[in-house]
Amino acid sequence: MGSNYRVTYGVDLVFCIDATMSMNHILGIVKDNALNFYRDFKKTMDEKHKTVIQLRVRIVAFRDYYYDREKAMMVTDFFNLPEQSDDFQACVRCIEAEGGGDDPEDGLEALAYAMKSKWSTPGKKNRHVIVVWSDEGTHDLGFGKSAPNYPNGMAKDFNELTEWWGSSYCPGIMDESAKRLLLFTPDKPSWNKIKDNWNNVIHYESEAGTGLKDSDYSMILNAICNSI
Amino acid sequence: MNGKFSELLSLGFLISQEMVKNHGEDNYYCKYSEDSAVICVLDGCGGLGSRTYEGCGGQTGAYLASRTVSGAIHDWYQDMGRTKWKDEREFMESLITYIQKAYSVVGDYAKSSIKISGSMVRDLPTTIALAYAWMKDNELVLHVVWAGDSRIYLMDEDGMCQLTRDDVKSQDALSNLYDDGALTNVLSSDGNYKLHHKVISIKKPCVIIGATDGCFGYLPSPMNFEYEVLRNLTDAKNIYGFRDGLKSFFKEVAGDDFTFACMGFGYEKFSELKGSFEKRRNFVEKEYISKIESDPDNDELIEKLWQEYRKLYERYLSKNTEGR
Repeated sequence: MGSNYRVTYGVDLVFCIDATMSMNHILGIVKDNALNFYRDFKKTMDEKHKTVIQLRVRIVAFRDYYYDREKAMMVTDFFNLPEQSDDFQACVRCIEAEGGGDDPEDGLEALAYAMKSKWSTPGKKNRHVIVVWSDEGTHDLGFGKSAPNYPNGMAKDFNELTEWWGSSYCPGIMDESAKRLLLFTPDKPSWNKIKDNWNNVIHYESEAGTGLKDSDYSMILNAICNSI
Repeated sequence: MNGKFSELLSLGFLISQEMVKNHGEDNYYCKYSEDSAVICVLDGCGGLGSRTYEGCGGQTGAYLASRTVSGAIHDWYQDMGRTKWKDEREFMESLITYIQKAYSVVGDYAKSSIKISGSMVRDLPTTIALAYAWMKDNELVLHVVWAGDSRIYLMDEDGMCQLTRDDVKSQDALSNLYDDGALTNVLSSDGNYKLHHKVISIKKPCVIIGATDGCFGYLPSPMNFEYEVLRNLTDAKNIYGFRDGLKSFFKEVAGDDFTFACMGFGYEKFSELKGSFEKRRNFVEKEYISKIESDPDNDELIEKLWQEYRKLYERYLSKNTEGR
């Protein structure tokens, strides 16, 4: 009788990765562990006795629209893991740490792309987790809108992005119960505004400009699994 | 019910199991004396309390929180358990004083080198569900105190009812299972919490239950939780069989640490306790469980049965509730 009752989880992860020059360390972690990620994730969740029936991962690799133009944003669809682990690995291996121009990057545009993912709800409980890695603050939204490839339909400012994220009293475009935002970023604008004002956020503060060199794979994996 | 407290208190036991050895985030305190008894269950909040503390063996805030507060309840009961409380305010003020003191002691040791912040992070967060029984003016009185989604139930021959209202963003005990709402209020060392309190008189034989959500959060409906408690009680030969059967069941279904504590009043022996719930077990099985099991994916059916069940299940939820 008991085995029929098991609660199942559907997990969608969107990795927003700052792909500018200083970010080799984190990109290296993602590349080195892409193939094993499903195995390690499932093992950690099994230890927590949480049954994950679906895991998907999507990549948003961002830089700077103003300086990097057509290389400013690379966005993939969701990869189903483990079936598409090879494709996931091949995709992340294509991302090189380069460009960036000035210090702030277009992390808010990346966040907007992540929020608008085609999230799925296959489990009794579902988690839609956005993970951001960056070692710098962000431009204001629209800073790079002179770039010919700046996307239509982007949130026009931080207030609108905040509305997209929503709150328990006024839900946004994501499922209020499912959404989580993990920031591995410095305590700089706009990340500090986000962690002080948005719900369902965990901020792991890093040192600016150091490429998150103090982060390691097991810490990141645990942080993701603890948020589920 | 009146008489001597020690004669009214008939039974009690505790079940607790951690999912990951030495990292369980549930904790508890249960004790009785000639004059009173207390059961308290706590569930350290894993997501909110995922920060680790090198000064405390690298354990998580959730792990430390539930133990900090269970330690506070232990000290409180040892010092104050025989008090003839003047009023509810005195009761609550003494409890809060002990909890805050425990947090300030642990806070001196709980330092973390990892800077984690954000709305999903709290300092040493834990739920609490506590039931304290004593004789006041020759009447058996129960103080119920809680924050979070751990629960105190009362189960008598009329059925099980929830005495605590969950601090969760969802509508009711059924939607709580599926909506997956976030906790809106838990104890934490920053003092930003509301400790709910209510007092009820116990007028007839009953069992008071404290449970963390590992016990009830992985079942299809609240009716299933009552049924499993009744099933294990009425199938058992003695109190140990009841306890062990329930533990085996929770081990099979729980996706989390689980803690279940109970104390019973007004039953002279186990056979009397068991006998008083046979009819209710059969009723719940026939009216709810067999229907759910015949069509387990029918959410509309479960909703319809819940709307019927909740009329008695929620009978104490509108009664006096005071906050801190």
